[in-house]
Amino acid sequence: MTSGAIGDLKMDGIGTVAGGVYRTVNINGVCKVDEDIAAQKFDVKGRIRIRGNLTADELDVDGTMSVGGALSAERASFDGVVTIEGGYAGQQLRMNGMLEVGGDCEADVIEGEGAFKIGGLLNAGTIRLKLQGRGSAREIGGETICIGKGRTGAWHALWKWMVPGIAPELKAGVVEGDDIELDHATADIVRGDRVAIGPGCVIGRVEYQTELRKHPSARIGEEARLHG
Amino acid sequence: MERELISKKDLLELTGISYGQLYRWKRKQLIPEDWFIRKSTFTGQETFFPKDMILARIDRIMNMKEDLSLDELAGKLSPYQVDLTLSKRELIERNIVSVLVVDRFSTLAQQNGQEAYSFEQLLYLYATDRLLSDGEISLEESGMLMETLRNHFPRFEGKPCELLFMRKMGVSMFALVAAPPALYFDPGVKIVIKMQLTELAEQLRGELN
Repeated sequence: MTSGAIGDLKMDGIGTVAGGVYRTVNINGVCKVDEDIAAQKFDVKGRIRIRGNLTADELDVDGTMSVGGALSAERASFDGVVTIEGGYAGQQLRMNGMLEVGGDCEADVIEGEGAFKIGGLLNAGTIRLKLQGRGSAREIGGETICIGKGRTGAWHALWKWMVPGIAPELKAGVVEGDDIELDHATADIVRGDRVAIGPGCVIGRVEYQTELRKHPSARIGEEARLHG
Repeated sequence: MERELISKKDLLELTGISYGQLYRWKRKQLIPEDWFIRKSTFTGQETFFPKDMILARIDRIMNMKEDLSLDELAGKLSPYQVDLTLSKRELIERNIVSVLVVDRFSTLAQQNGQEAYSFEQLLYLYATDRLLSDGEISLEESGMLMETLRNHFPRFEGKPCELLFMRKMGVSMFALVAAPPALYFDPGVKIVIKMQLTELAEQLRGELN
């Protein structure tokens, strides 16, 4: 993003903010944006609702955020609940909490803990997620995909409060990647080079090339080794 | 004309690339979204690709990848945004478009060599030349085609579109439609040509590079 004579935005309290292009945006409180908004650095503490699209180089959310359009953020860090009706595109995403994306979710690296719901394709070079609630996506694709149940510890009670009533498990139609490691997952098809199916998995069909490791408690409908 | 499709599994086997690579290229927009055709098969949802286009594209990515980063590559692969211009002399010397078509459809400045041809203009000439030399259209109709392309092609703003050429009772007409079209005509209409302009642009770029 090029920075000409563009201003900063800082808001504390409750209010509505005009859209447009900013250098840095700092919001503490409850805020509404009715148009598209773009910034190099976008920092939210509290609650924000954006009707349009959000574009940021660096995005940090502590609290809840909902975006009516699409979100594009090179580096994003979410702590809390983030809902995006369109798609998400970026490079690095670190999440702690609940992420909901209506369209496709694409990044080079996605890491974190919590729960997610992706309407379309979850596509990332590396996906490392620990589930504290349900994770679901129509399709998951990437190079390294590692999704499993998160640890239960001191924070567990808090997690249960944030994401109530849903067991930590993954549900996906198709999972495709080079290295796949899953546990507590339900999927129709898993295809990959090196595949590890952990405890609690129910998989319709697994196709692999180099190796398949499976936990005794995993249920797999069909297995096929492909020679690529 | 049903285009030949290839399933994702067969594609990976044929080209030797991995799922990870394919997804990465998709993420970097090296492979357009609308080439991913989802279909139900007996094993569940499968993804298919237009065979000739995806194979050509993967070949190009593999050949270019060594000296370019993926982001640079993405710029080079977008179908129409080619920042490339050609003068009349180069155009004829490299035998991309025939002299006849160049002479007939160039502006005065282009004729004199003062003005170069943009990629879009080249595409129009290329399409017209292709159809003329195949004997599908007459010289008179080629004028109509050029007019159609010049007036309406920019409206697609780079989205995939098809060119249709139809005849009925000796009357001919051209149409540009957004792809994939679903059009049905009365039995008297003969569709002479159905051409993917995205694909043609791809071929033209192949010749230019």
